[in-house]
Amino acid sequence: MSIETIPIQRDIQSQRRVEAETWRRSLTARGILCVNVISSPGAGKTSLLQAMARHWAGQPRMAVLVGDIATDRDAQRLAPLVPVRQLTTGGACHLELPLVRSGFDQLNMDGIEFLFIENVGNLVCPASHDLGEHLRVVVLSVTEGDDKPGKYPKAFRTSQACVINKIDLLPYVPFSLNAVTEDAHLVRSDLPVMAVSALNGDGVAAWCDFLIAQRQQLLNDANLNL
Amino acid sequence: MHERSLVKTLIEQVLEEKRVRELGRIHEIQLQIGEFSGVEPRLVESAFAEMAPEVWDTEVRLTVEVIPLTATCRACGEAFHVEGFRFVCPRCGGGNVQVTAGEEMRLASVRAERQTVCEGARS
Repeated sequence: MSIETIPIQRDIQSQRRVEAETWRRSLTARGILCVNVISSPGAGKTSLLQAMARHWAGQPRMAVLVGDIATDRDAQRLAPLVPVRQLTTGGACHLELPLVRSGFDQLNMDGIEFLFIENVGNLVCPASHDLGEHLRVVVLSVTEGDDKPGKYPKAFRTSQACVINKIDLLPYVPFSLNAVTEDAHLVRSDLPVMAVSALNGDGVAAWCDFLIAQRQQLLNDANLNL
Repeated sequence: MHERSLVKTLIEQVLEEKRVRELGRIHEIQLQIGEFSGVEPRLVESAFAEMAPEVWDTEVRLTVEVIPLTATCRACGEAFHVEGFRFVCPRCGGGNVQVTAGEEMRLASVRAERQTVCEGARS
């Protein structure tokens, strides 16, 4: 009997990576662009999704899975507009794939082109969890301060788009769109930064067009003609 | 705060490796955690200290090696350590950089008792 060092070199998250990739592919094959929306609590994820649903008014078709620690308040806000399922984590600060998939199975996805996953409000842990999305979007509201990208680098580095929300409040708060864009670009130089007001609708059309272009790109890349 | 679920996976992987490689008693688990993995080494250590006694009745040591966040500049080829999570090349100032290490969480190795052939039957 001897004590030896046995090299293993095994990725702890390999199983999760495979599961997320498999799910992403199955969504791609159905022509669904899946968007994981992350932000701190109160940045306006639900308000943004409501504004988008009103803008699109049923075309293209979107569905939402909304995660929270408690209550179904967000799902109630979205239910008059789009198919939605509330995911309640019971205390966990982020969503994980199995819960997302169980919610997905309860949604009627016929004809749905966009699936939005509204994550639990938190700029830390959701950044470490691949939910099989094609696009991760970080939402930051102007009341939170323009110094946030550098303070939450993983959330911004792992996102493919950044939405600055509540720009209707810009006259009242010390927040610079230039400063936040510069800070975000130190973390990820090619991060598209888009300014919106979910409240009055400014910028929502451009943001929706960006998403339509992203889905078209996905379909082109996958050689899908849906 | 997802360290507990990661440690659960870590322990499952160690047990699987032990079975597949027909190892004896595990003395130490050597883990690598990237600086930009989103995983906090101290929280992993405390989660492990809590969970390991539920699995092993002998002491299993966990050692954590932190892997620095490094990148390569796609423009000028410079390889560098990403300071303060600013993904900008220190040589040319370009932002088109490829992360080369520092995002992983990896079971690197274990220190375990290896049974010789004649002891194998005792498992």
